[in-house]
Amino acid sequence: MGYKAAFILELNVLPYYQSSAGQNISFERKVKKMRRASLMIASLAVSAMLAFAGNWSGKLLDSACYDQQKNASACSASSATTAFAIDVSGKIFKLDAEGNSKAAAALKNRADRAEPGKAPAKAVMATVSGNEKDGTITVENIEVQ
Amino acid sequence: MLTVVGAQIFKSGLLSCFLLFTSTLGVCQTLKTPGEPSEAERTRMAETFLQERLAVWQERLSLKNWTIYIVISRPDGLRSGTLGNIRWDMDKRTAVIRVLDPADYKTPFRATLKDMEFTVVHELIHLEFASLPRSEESRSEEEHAVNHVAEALLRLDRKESPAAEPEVQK
Repeated sequence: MGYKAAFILELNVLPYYQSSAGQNISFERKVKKMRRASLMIASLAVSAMLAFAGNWSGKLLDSACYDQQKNASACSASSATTAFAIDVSGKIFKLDAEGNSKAAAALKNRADRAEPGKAPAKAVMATVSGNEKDGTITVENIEVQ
Repeated sequence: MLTVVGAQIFKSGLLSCFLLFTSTLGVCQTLKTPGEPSEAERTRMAETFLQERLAVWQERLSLKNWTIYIVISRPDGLRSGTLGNIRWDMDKRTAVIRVLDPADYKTPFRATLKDMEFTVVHELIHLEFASLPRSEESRSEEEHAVNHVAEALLRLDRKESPAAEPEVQK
């Protein structure tokens, strides 16, 4: 078979074609490269599917406090918190490093006007958007109430 | 005879009910403060009023280089126990002030507008203090200081210019 025929066969991913020895090896290498690339693309697609994108709204927690006490009501996040988690109807999600920075900045750059004679609730509610995988959210955006 | 009497009693009873109903209606109407806008109008008027006052206070507090938005919020949009809040971005010089919706106030509309303006001034003063070191422990003291300064500024504002009193216009 000629070179043109070999090119067509390559597109059909045939293992090899009968020609001179040099062209045979080159073609096999190309096929192997293509297979590797296909496998990589497929594995990337699968791992992307395993990370869930979405929004999570709930109570912002101090992650270190929660890891120790396992009590969401006693572990509200504050401006001193450096590692955060969010309690979404009883399910706890931790924030990634970037999310922790964003949450810390959001808590720092805010102020409330308390109702006269009342103390603001200690609980801090937030909405986090990003991708969740294995209980950790890769945060794209965070809004603190 | 009995039928006639019965009919007369029924008619007089009906008349009494009608008179009772109309008098009750009249009393209910007089209880509503004259000049109070409807609930739907309150939010619109409050937004207009607050935008005007925000411009004035931004100028006075030298915050003209900030882009500040006012959002009227229902209670579920605010932290429990608060009447408003401010969230700012120091790098972008933007801020959002949330103020409790007038529909959720239990005061006459004029008093409500005054209090909403107080919230705006209160939050702007927090913004002034934003560059100062802050901690969770100092928040309480900061809140007291901000309240006192806001009260003083508004007292001065309203004493100097009675026209600064919120006008209820339809």
